[in-house]
Amino acid sequence: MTNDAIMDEKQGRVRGMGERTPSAPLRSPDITNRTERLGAMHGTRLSFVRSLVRRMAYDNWRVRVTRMDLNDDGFGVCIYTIEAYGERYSQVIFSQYLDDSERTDRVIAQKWDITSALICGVPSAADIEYLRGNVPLQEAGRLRANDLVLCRANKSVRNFGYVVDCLAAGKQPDPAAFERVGYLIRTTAVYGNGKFGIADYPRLVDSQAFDRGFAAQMCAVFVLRDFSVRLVEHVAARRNPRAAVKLAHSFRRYLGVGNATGLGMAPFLVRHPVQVDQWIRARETALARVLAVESVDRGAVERAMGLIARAGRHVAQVHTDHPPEAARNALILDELPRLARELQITCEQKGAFRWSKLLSWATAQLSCATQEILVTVLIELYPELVDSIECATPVDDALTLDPDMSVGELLALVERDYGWVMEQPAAQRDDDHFFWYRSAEKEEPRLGVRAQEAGAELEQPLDISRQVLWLHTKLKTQENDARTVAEFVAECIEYRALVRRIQTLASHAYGEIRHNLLARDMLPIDLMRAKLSMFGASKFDPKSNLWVRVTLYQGAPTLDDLSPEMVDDWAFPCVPGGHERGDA
Amino acid sequence: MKMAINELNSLCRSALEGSGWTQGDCEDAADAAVWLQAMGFDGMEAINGLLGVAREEEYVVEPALAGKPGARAERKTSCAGLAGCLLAFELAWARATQAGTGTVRVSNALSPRLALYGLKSMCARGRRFDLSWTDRVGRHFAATSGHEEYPAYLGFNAHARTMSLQIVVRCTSDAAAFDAELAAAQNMAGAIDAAELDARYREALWRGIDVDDTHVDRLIAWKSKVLVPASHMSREQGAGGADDGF
Repeated sequence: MTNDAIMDEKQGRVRGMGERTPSAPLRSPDITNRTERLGAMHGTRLSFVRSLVRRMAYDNWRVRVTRMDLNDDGFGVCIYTIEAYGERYSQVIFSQYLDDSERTDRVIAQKWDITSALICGVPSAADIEYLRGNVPLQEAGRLRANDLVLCRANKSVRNFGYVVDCLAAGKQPDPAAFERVGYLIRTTAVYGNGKFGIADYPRLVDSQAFDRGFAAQMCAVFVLRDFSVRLVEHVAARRNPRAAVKLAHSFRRYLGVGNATGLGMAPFLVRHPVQVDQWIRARETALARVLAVESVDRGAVERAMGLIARAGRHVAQVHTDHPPEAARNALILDELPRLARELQITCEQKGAFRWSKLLSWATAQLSCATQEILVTVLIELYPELVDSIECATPVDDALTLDPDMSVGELLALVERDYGWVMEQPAAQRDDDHFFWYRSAEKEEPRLGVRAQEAGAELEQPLDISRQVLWLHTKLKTQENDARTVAEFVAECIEYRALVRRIQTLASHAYGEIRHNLLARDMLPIDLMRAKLSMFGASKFDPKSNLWVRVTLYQGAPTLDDLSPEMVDDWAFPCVPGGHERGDA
Repeated sequence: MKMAINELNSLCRSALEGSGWTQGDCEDAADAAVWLQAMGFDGMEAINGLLGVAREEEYVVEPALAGKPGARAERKTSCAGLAGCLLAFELAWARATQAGTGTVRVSNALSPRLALYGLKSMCARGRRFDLSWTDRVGRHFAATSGHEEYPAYLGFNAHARTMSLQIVVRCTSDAAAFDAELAAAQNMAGAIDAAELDARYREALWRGIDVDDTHVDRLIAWKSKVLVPASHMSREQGAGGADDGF
């Protein structure tokens, strides 16, 4: 069975999908899973933060501050209570003084402006004391099985102080300040799933609020976003109680939470291929449903035109010092008017207009980066078709060996699903320029240059492409094709993990990143962007090839905006004017 | 100390990597050790049996009845990896597909109780498996019908205690043809049914797993062997995060 056949067969069976929803063929993983494409992704309305905010609004989550003990400088403790589906959680936030010299976003940091834990239930006084003794220590502390998320954040030194000054002086900040940095605080780590003693993810499967992957972590960041605004307003009000004003609602809505993401996300994508398949398949399923729309009405075209224009403004407001990213954004800005023009022309032509026609044109005429913007726009147009697709439901990502498969069948499977490995140019295929490793320094994931650095003998096995080549060669030399895979891996134990990966992914075509991750041309930021897009991050600002600054929840509804009537329309956030008056 | 399942799993996996086990074996043995620890089968002692030891497990896939497909005689084979966890079950499965029944014997087993996790992994795959293993406590028995979430630990026979560490796995694709040799042990004690195992798992999930500090320290020591010492170059050129003054 080919990948395409698998995809056709699976189209009607993705969890959360209605069986009868018409769908065009899904794009091939040879398109979607190339690093160039992954590195051009944008968040969609299926992204985790979008999905979470919808549930918060439409399912009447109640999120409120139940305790706020902060001194004039904003140091102290704040507790939020989160109630949903009859469940109750609390987020305990500690704000402390941090000398500028100690403020670093690196994993190696030991102190932060803000630390926080999302926990089950309502904390007792003893709980708060326990958390006070451990949460600010982060990795050096111990959390308990009742605690769900551990996270920390640092203030944006430029924005935080500036906004306090403005509000205390009774005026709103200059919107230009938020164009460069669209947040007041940035998280540097958000831990879940058993880290440092906190609850394992399987425990959350019984929770209606947080049973989706990363939902608890995303909720913790959403609460931190609200806290960042309360904190800045609190400090301003204490500084000048008579004149201070609150931040304009449009700014509160625009500001997100910054995040610095490094290499750790890349190994995750390689080690959890079934989840990667789930995420990308959901997105492609959504796109396929839109492409199958037979009658595109004028309203949808106008919404698309509006979103394309908004995407242009959004991209124009991304400031980056990373030359390739800046060049890509410039290209997008050059191509988006062409896309809008083509949409206008095509939809006015005689005959039925279908989105597939526009996407085909874009595929032939525009860069990969602009095509991916179009994908986000198209998915945005039809909430009624795509919002039911849940891409973060719990998934069994165990890789299981099929012992009965013959060696000959395995060889055929490798050649069917890993043609992209064999078809690479030899120089690319054999390039092992990099090696991935974990540093003794706080176990930080790092990337080394094999010819220049020590430690390659301890490299992490993220070299799927290279391993597949070796396995393929080994399989070709087997004399007995009828021999079972169980016998083969018992003899060649070094291939056992890879064989069961290949077998498992035979029905998860989007699970494998189709690039040699050791090659000199591999950009870790492409991998990070794929995962961050699934989270729903925006404003990608690579700081090097190894780490990227993004913003989460930029443009998202605020806590006050959450209601069943909420309009879920915040793709491609843009800096507002902030002209409305902030109430004192 | 109390540890989360995933936290302990990650530590065990890294320790096994540090001890030179290949990928696949590391994940399986870590999963097994943590599950056993949660189930009250001293998974930490089980993983200790794998750290810093020579690989000397041997296995043999027993011939099926004469005339059956797959009824060829097998020689005893040294295993460069870990036979006594999942691999023995995979081999038994493949032989059972050919011959109706597959039996795998693992001798010089490094940590025989890991096989109980192997059995657990086969619980929902639709075939009957029977397992026995020996250690200094005695001979242990467990089984699954292939349609359950957990296996049944049938107990151990203290009279069969031995220094010979052996695992016997039998897979039956045709339940009617099953010869209940393994399950017919006598004088067994300490049986634990599937419901109790499920309760123990949930307890671990909701309250964490108790692990001795000495075990944790040993695992950390082995884990440290896969960590690359930091250098100026690695810090400056290989690390992801940095500060940009915003």
